[in-house]
Amino acid sequence: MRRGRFGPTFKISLGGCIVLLAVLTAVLAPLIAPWDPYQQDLMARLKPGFWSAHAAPDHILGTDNYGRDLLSRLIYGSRLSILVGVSSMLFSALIGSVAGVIAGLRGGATEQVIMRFADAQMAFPDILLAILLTAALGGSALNLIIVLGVSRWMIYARVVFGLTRSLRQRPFVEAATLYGGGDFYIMWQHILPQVMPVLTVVATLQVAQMILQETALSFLGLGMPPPAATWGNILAEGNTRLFAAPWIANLAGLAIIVLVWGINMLGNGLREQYDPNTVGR
Amino acid sequence: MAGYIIRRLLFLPLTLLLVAFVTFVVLRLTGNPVDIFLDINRTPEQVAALTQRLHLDQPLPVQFLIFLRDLLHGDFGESLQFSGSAVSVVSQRVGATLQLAGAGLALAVVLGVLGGIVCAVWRDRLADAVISTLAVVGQSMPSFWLGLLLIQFFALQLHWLPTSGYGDARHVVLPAATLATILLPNFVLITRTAILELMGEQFVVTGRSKGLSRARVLTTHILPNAANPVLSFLGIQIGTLMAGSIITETIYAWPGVGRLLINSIFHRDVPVVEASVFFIAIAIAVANLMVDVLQMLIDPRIRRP
Amino acid sequence: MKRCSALALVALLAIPVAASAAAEKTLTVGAAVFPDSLRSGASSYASLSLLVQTNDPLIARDNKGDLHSALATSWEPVDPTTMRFHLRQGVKFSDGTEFTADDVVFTIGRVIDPATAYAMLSRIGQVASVTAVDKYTVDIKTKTVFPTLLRGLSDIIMEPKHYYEQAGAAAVAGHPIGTGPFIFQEWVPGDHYTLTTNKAYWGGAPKFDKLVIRTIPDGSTRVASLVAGESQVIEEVPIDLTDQVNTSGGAKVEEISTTVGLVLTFDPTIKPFDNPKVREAFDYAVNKPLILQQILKGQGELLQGQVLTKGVLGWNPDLKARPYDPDLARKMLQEAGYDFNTPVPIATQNGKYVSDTDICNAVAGMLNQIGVKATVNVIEGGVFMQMTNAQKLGPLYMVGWYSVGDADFASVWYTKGGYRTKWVDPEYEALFVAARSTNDVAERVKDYHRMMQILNEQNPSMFLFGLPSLYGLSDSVTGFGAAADKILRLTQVQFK
Repeated sequence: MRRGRFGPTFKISLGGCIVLLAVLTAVLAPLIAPWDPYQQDLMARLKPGFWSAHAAPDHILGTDNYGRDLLSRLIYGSRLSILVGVSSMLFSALIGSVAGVIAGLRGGATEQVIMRFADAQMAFPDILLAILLTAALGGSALNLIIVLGVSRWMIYARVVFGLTRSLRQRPFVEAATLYGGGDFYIMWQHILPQVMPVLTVVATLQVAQMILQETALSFLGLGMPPPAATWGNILAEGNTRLFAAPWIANLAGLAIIVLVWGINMLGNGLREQYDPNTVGR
Repeated sequence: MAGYIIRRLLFLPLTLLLVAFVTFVVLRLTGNPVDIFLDINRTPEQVAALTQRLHLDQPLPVQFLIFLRDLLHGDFGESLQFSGSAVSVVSQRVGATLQLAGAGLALAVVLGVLGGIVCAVWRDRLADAVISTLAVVGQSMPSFWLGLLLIQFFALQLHWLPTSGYGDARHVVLPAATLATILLPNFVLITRTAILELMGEQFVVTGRSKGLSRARVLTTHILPNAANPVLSFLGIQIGTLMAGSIITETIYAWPGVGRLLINSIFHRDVPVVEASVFFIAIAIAVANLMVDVLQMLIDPRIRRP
Repeated sequence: MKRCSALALVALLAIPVAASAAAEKTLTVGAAVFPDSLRSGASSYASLSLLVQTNDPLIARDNKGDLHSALATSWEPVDPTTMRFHLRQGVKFSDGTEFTADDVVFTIGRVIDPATAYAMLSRIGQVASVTAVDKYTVDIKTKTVFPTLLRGLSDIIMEPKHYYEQAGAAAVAGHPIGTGPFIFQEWVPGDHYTLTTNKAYWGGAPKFDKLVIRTIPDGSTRVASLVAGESQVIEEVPIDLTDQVNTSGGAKVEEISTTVGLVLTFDPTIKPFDNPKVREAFDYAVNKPLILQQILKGQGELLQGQVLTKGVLGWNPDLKARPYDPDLARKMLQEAGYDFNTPVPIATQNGKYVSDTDICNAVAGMLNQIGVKATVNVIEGGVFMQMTNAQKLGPLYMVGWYSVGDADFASVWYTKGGYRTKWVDPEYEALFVAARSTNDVAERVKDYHRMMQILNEQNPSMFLFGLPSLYGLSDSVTGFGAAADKILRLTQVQFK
């Protein structure tokens, strides 16, 4: 069974390009957005874009329900979407890795407490925890990052725990322990470099999950508060008017699909490159 | 094996306790059910009576202990918004959720495994790229949006299916498809990876060299062995399925536990939230256990720690 | 594995559910908010909307809010605190038992017992006792003069005493029995409520056989079900989807103004909103007609500088909404020494009122234009309620006050005893008590006019809109009217 053209290299480069493009859009938003994304014009609300005969001439992708320029909102929306996706991933990776390393190094009761806690949380749909917490805390970028991070830490904890346990027996870690290296020293010097490749793959794919999770919270009215633009809340807001102004939800949805697709492509490519036999998730 | 199952079951109460505690504390701290339940015109006597009935005059730890005490008798408490006990309220909704989740899961497994086989056989070729792409596109479509698009196309334009609601077999098609879309891509990926992994194994290579056809090697050697990773993945996905049902049920007006749960959270109907959360946690645990047992039956080599 | 799943799929899809017979005429209603039980006395009008299908009140409201006789045919005051009601004779509950004064005494006694936790109690909160004079006459005594008794009674449904005593409250909620136009058939929580028509209804039997009220929480899905012909009536058409309904070729939208006055209330204990000039300046800064025209698509009404909607008893016809004048607003703020860096978060819930978040966002956008740092803070319902009771919603928050036809119910929220605003005005307080303590309508109207004037001068809130209620109606039926109080009145509905 011969291998074709769409292998890991292809996936990494295509996925990487998409992700890079999204990041560039986010960084350069003030330069490329044609309008102020928050400027309302109620007289020009829900106007379609260039494809329509009733298009508002200055708005290429039309306007939303406050008459704000949709293109500008999508461009600015990439900022918060990526920020929330990446930061919450980093936050959960941080909690998860530290918990996983500590459980793996200490073993015994510490391991039992941490890993059983992780197991318990696995039996609890993450979106539920996120709903409970955002309902309580209210939606702000920081709260969302914390909530999404807390709801997914155990995925990293499990991966890092497994790797740490197998590394603990290795001579260089044992030696470091003997010479009195603290947990964090050992983690930083010896464990982290070893688990980094696997973590990178898991983390990449998790960014996509976080972005989708933020979208789901927006639908339930628990996402970023207005007037902030994220792809999630543009989609959720547009969805209520899907039958009347389909372009809002569809364009925001398209943006999410492309980015998530790019991230997945990158992540899966990295995984295949790094270890073609890993059955991950 | 029996020892393993017993250990797993013993662990369940711990999970439930933890889940119950977090839910209870968050809900109690962020909203007073008395405020939500009684009219804004309520009288002080009514507030006092209801506060006492719900033990809200007690400190929070005491409230939780009272809740636990009743729980040991199988009593989650009376639902505030509904008439009747929380258990009876939730059990009325379980059937609808199981039906939806079952149909969605079946659809995802069947299509996912088929897609995975195609992807593996034509690895890194056009078919693989197209199917993998479609799968990821499906997965990255937020289900509230996908749901409305499906309603618009299949119900409003083609008139093939009803828009929403619970009823005959036709009603389950769109919600199940929406739910399946969340899981399907992972099944494609897992099946693909599992098959590819096996293709390098000695017994497969031997089979091919003995002159067996590709199709025959696939059905006799590879697929039975690929079942295991797919199964273990299925266990993990039960949680995702439950989470997905929350939004799917809202869009399609499906009378299941997911929508009940969201509503009860917003109403701070703690007994119903707790009972629903227990149902979900137990469903996830039982599904995982079933998957494990099934795996051990299929492949006795697997040992559990 | 594969075959297994395929079989499971077939099995799941094949679970049969009885299809309705084609011959009988079934009216299907798509409800936006679906109560969680048929227990009487819940605080929402959505709940009352289901209960009145099986049970009648003594006095009924119509779609516009006017009162009519129902189970009571006439009433007269015996003394200033006693009202005598003459009951309709020969009315039977659907189990065949006759409706008598005993049922009224039982029902009202149950409502006023605090242990019942009857959330609608406040509607008849001043009732002290109720006694049967004879089989068809009851006297209701109130603690004080209680001018809103009749209107309050239109929210209280009459329930069968014998059934409560035989079966208990839980059984009644599980299978209500009443004198109403429909008879309970099936209740599936979270899904639908099925009723059959009461052929012996005292008010004339409805001209169809079966009524199904289905819950469809998502607005777009609700519209889809109407357009697809699955339901004949839907509640709460999302405003931006009205064109889709009207151009679908099989349905149209019916609109009526409700008595809900949507306002943005200031917290005058937070500086600088203690200054009435600042509050007035904010009012000038908001282009209310534009929001009404664009976001509410011209549905509903502009509040004329008062919390009451047009036509409600006590509405002051001399008051006008302040015009939109951003320059004046900016100038007034500068004169008042307003610090334009003050953050002004506008607190609101999402989906509680028609277009609530949209309106808040538009208001914030307009305030931003004169340099005010306004933002919108969307708060989940339970948390909002908690903050409301703690009176910690911040400088500006959105609420809607319904009056259901009488100023008393809406004006109470600007009194100290209402606990819903920190603004206090001694004259307003005194007038409120005075208006509540007389049965003389002219006197009450005079008091309310002055109270509305005080609100207009002091601006404890920005008064925005009287909210609309939009129903979607299939062309296949006639006789349905949009209701100002969101109660489904279906007895006149007919299939064409």
